[in-house]
Amino acid sequence: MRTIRARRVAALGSAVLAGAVLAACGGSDDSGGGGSDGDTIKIAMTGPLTGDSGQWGKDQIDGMQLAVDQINDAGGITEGPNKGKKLSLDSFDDAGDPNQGASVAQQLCDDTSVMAVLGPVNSSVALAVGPVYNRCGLTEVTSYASNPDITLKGYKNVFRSIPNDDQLSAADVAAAVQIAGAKTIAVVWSNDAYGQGLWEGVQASAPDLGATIVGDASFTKGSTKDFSSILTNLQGKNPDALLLMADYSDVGLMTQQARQVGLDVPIVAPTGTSTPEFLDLAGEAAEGMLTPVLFDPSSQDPEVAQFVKDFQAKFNRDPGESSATGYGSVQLIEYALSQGATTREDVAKELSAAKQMPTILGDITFDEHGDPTSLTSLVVLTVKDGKFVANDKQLQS
Amino acid sequence: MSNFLQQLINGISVGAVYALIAVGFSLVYGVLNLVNFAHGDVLAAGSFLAVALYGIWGWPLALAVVIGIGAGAIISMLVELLTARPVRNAPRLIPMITTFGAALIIRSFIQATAGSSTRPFSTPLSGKSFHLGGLRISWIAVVTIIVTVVVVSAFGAYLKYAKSGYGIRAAAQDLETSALMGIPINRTILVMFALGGWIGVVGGLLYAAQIQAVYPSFGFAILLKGFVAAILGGIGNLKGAVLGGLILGVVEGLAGPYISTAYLDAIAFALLIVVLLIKPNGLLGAQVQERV
Repeated sequence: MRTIRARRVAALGSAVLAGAVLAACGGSDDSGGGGSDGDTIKIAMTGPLTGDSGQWGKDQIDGMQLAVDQINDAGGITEGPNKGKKLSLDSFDDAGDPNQGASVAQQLCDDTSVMAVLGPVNSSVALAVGPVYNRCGLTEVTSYASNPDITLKGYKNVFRSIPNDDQLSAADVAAAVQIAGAKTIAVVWSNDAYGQGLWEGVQASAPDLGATIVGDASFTKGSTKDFSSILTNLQGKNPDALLLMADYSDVGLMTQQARQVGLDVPIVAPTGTSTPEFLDLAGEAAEGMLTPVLFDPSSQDPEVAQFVKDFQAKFNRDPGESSATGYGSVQLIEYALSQGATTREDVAKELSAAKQMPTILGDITFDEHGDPTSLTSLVVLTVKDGKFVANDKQLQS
Repeated sequence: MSNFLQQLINGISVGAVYALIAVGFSLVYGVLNLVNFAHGDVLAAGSFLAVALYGIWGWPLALAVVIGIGAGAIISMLVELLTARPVRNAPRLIPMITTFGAALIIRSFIQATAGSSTRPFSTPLSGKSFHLGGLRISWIAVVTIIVTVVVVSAFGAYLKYAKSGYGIRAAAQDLETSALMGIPINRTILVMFALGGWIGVVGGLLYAAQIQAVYPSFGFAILLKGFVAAILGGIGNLKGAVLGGLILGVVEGLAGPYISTAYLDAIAFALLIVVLLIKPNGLLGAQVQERV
């Protein structure tokens, strides 16, 4: 009796599974093709709108929406065969999860009305979706995922508008050495593509910058939230500064817990930490920490100041760092479209060929990998009275 | 050496939390032979409620904690009524699956209402500590250990001396016979779930106070540790659950930094496998006959 029932259950299970697989395959045979549909051109944003890096995605989508609205209000694309066409922007939540990211990517590949993808935000997701977009020829511009390998796979349609982990983590080490005066550093890194990329960058840049790594520890992102044993152990190594290479939620918890175990050395956190959520989680322990950023909201640059003003007017809050990078990525797509891109493949060709595309974070030319040839200059922020402000002392160039 | 002692203290305070989780989990197994997967998310729901009342709406901490604990007990009873009781006499796999479903529903509910991000939980004791010799001892750790000792002893006394506690012990020995002897089984089991949820939320909140945050999947994450602790000590055994929790916490604290902190979860299960190879019934498994 039991075996018969078990067999029946197994058979039912396989039938359900087979059905799911068929459903997933359905509709994928009409990929490729263009993206213009009448008077609007559809672009898609992917990123975490929920989860521990959700703020990055929410900031990005708002920055992108602002850019899209401004382009449309000014009459759409200004030149070429797309002249006068408006942009429409849809967002897709990947929750910062590579599995969910890959299924979103497949969905966007299958939707032939999508002309280009802006995102993803997390490195681990970007590594997972690269091959998917490469297969269907859909152009992907990420403006927040920083793992170096993302653009090193030889894909012609994958671009990144910001510096990679090698450059970003070198800035973290430089902040520890030049601003916090550290000679020895301890590093905690999340065991995913993001933390690992940063950790490799720290190891590569530390000797040249004059820092000695006296201890390091990794943790499993999502399952370790109690860092007290890690931090206690690193405290035993007497570092001059602590580098926390992870997303802002975990950095917030570690900052708080470092102070709790009595590890009172200066803390340096990677680009991406400067979010209100970090401040909530870290509380008073955040005071004095350092983080290099791509975008300084208090910048005197007129274009940046205008962006901050427009963003505040539209969303009634301050823009995040990824809002600015997201805004810039829409500017890149707009540029490609104004140069006459009418298919998915064209977008990649125009982006590769273009020189000095104007964006809010400076003019961008892509190298053969799809990385920017010149680097956005980084500004080091610190936390003072519960707010992020530009640090008095900045990195030596 | 001081690093070793410091890690030992960290380990004991985390282990105390694992013990509290393991007690409720082990209790249910002891009586119903049921692996109650909803236990972790029940305690997460109660903890989230307390954290929200205190952190977002500014209620007094004590009141928020009491309401959170009460909510945990009620949700745990609902799990029993809706997902465990209707299938109590079905093969043991069925209620395990239904409680797993309840876990997912509760977690989704938390995510839908509170969002899926990590939320701060800062208590007046957060970050406060005192020095003892060369050691730094956080007040949260002290509170955790005291609360655990009080709750576990009170619970032990309840099982031993209270009438309904007596009922739970009888049910653990033999559910059917105790029903025939006039023990109100439905009520006894309901009370047991309520107590498990109650103690679970206490553990959840102490853990949240240690890491100074809550996140939607934290219930399931610490349930895994409670599960290991319960089996380690000998499932269905109260003392075993406490012992298993403490051992697991200390081993994680001491071994983690020396082996690799990236393998913290793996260390827990490796320890479990080693212990089960030597003592298949868990550390206090010999007493498994007299469960709870």
